[in-house]
Amino acid sequence: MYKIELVGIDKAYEKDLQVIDNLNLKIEEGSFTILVGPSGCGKSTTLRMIAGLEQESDGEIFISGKSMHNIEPGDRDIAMVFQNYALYPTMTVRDNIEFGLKNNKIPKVERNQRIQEICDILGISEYLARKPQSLSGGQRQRVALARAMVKKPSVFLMDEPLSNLDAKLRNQIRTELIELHRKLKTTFVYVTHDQVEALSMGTHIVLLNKGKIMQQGPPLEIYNDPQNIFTAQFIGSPPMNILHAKDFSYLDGFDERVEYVGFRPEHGQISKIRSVNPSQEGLELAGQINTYEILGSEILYKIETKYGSINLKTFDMREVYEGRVSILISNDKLCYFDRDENRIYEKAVPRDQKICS
Amino acid sequence: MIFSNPIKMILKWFINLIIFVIFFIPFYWMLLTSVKSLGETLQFPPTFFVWNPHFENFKNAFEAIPFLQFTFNSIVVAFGTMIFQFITIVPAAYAYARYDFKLKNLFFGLTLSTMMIPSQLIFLPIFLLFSKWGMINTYWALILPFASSAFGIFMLRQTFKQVPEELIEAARLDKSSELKIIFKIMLPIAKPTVFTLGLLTFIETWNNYFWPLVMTTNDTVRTLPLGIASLRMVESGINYHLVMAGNVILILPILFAYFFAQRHIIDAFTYMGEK
Amino acid sequence: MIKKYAVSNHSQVGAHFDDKASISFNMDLLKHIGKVVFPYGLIAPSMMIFLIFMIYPILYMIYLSFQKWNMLSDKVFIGVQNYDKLFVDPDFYQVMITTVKFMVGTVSVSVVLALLLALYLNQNTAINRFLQGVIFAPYIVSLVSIAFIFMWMMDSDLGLLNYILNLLHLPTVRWLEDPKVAIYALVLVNIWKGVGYYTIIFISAFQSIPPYLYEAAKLDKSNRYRTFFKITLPMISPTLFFITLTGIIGGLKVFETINIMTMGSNNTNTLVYSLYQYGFSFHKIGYASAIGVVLMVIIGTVTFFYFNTLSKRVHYR
Repeated sequence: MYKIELVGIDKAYEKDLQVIDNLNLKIEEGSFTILVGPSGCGKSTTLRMIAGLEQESDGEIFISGKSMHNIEPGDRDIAMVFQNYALYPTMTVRDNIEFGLKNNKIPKVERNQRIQEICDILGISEYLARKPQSLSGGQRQRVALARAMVKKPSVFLMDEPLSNLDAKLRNQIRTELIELHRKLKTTFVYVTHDQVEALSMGTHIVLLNKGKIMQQGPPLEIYNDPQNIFTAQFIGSPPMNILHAKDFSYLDGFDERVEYVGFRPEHGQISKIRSVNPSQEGLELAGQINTYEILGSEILYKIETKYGSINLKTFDMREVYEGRVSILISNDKLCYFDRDENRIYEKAVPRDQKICS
Repeated sequence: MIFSNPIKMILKWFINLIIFVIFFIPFYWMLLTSVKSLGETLQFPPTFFVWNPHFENFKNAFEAIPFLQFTFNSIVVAFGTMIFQFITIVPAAYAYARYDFKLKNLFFGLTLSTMMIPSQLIFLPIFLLFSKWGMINTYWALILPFASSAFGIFMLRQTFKQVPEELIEAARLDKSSELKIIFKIMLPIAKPTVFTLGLLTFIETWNNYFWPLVMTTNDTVRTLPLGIASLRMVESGINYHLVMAGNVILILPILFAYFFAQRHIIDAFTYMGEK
Repeated sequence: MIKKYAVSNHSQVGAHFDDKASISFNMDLLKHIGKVVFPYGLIAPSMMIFLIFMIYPILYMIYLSFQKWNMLSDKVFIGVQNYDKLFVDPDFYQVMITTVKFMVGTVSVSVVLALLLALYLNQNTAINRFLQGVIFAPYIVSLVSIAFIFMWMMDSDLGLLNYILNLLHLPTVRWLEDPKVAIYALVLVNIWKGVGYYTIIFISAFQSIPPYLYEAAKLDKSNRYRTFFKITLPMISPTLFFITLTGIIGGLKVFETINIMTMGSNNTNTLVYSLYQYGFSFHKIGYASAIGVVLMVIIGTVTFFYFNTLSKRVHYR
């Protein structure tokens, strides 16, 4: 059984402002599902509809198999962590955590026990008497988590909970969240615009754009096997290089449906001379290196070619290339897309053919 | 659900109506009485509409007291106070916002504490002071005590503080004098606050009854509220039709401004309450 | 105080001195002095006003409260006799009681009523904006006008209010003539004038509460009443206490309604009004000043209490 099911969900704020268009989504029990996409793609709206904070215009939402129609947010057996934590500034940390329990009429003994338990897990026992304003960003984040966890919900909803933290803390809490998910084995639904967060934390990624699902699946599948140009470019940094196939038109062998050719920056081999390895099959491009950035474990090149500017990433830290270079991308690393920017999976080019520029 | 909604609607409109009636009727009653004849005001039960309005009430009110003189005095005092406040508030607010000096906290604290002193508390010593100076029955007695405002200094200081420091440093690098910085950079930015403060001062001064009452003994510098109050002494008993006619004239400019700049005026007062 | 006065005076001299500095030979030193003195020059005009018309009068009033003086004869120092007389005067206690009644009545009813109105008119719809405008209107109208309007409406024989009571078959009230009622009639007028202001302030405080707090409360299964008392009310508590403070001081200084509607008769004599009467009608300057000192102590206590206890306790930012 799926934990959460969205069936034919539409959401429009005004008549002409359709945010979500016929969304169908199944979220598996115990999964760490990430809703990811650019701003305005409807990911937060989707999460808020699951929480019941926003009313769907059409369609139905099921949690644990029960329809959530007309069910109040407080009765959905969920907990949510907000982007800005939404801690009650007038209450102490303890009161913040306890507020939901009191409203759910949980007896005092159990309340104390649960709070104790959560505080031990998150290490916030010493702040219990303080007000949220006197805490640092990371501490507030933990209090917000505690407030959600203490309710022992069957689903955790998180709306960009790390976006207000600095980079170092973000990495730390990211790891903690992954561990937490392993420990609790509860369903997490997590919204972010950051593809790194999506890839690193999720067990299941749902990529949204303009209110539609572009692709969903486990992180590696999304990365290795993008079904369309949007996915190919949104996931991965720098994005996949996309070239117009028609620019190579004097070569035969391309499937005629192929409109675009793409490859990831790390899949291009760079060399000083043309055709370093003439026996290797693939796409070979000549280009002029524009800029390079040394990032420590890798080097990023921006290379100008006849077919447009491309990004390239090498992990060879012994040498920095400059000037004119040749780039080789082996055939099995090339992705082909049709006019609608969807992936073409059949081999578009005969295996042994070499494409030259 | 189907039944409760119309009931809810009716209830809501009923409450709306009651609120409206409670706050509007007194004004209507004033307008109505101002065009009633003396005989009509003495009728009971009262009439709720006047078919032949007695506009001569306004003329009579005008003739009963030196109305123009009062109006002129009101305007002089209101604008005089505004101008003086501008002169004293702007530099002080700038100093408190932008300078560090030794006795700053002392002076600023002293300034703020004056906000808690109502004029009704200290009118007696001030009256004695003005008597000694022979300034009773002058505009000075009505303007000078309000020639600065702790509230105004506080508000304007807040506004000045929001101006980024870089802007001033840039101006200093351009060799602007301090006065130039105040007038060419700070004041244009603070325009809305200055306007709001001016508006509040005008309303307060225009409506003030207590101060001119204690600081004047004859009509030469008395303001409109006192004039209206003196209308009740005309002839015997209170002539409500005349008093209300005078009232209409006193209230009209304020309500007129309120009608056109309602949101602005409300925001100005809200602004005052939030800080 | 005198020393401060001197400092601010000196600063003016200094600023003046600075103008001439440009033609002097020791420019650097003078420039430095000018820089130090300049801010004092900026605050000097306002400080002069405050010192002459706020600080000095208070000190002078305290001084006068130890004198016997009717403005004609010479002042005579009589120590604390004015206070002695004041504290055994039954009229003074009546005045104190009336003042407290007036203040507490106005503030408590206004605040509760304004909270209810603010909740009712909180949503930003056209009709609510209109009603906000209507209930706020009395606040900007002169209290003199309002006093006359209500005096007329509260007329025992010809007034609108008694006519309405008649219509509803309720007993009529001698609003301003019944000593038991008169002070509450004045309270009613004050509430009518001020409640719109309080309401607007509360609405703006409500709207400054971030909406996500309400969402978090919903997820915490909080019902409407709990949300109001546990989240909304604590969130607006700084506004609430500020309003209460200004309300108390505003209530203490009310003069116009009493002066016009009852002239202090029928148990409506408040501290401010009796201060006015003793000072201006009876010319007992010393005695009036003693009343003024009492009023000042009350205002000072309330303000001190506000800033030192309440504001700290409700301050959460």
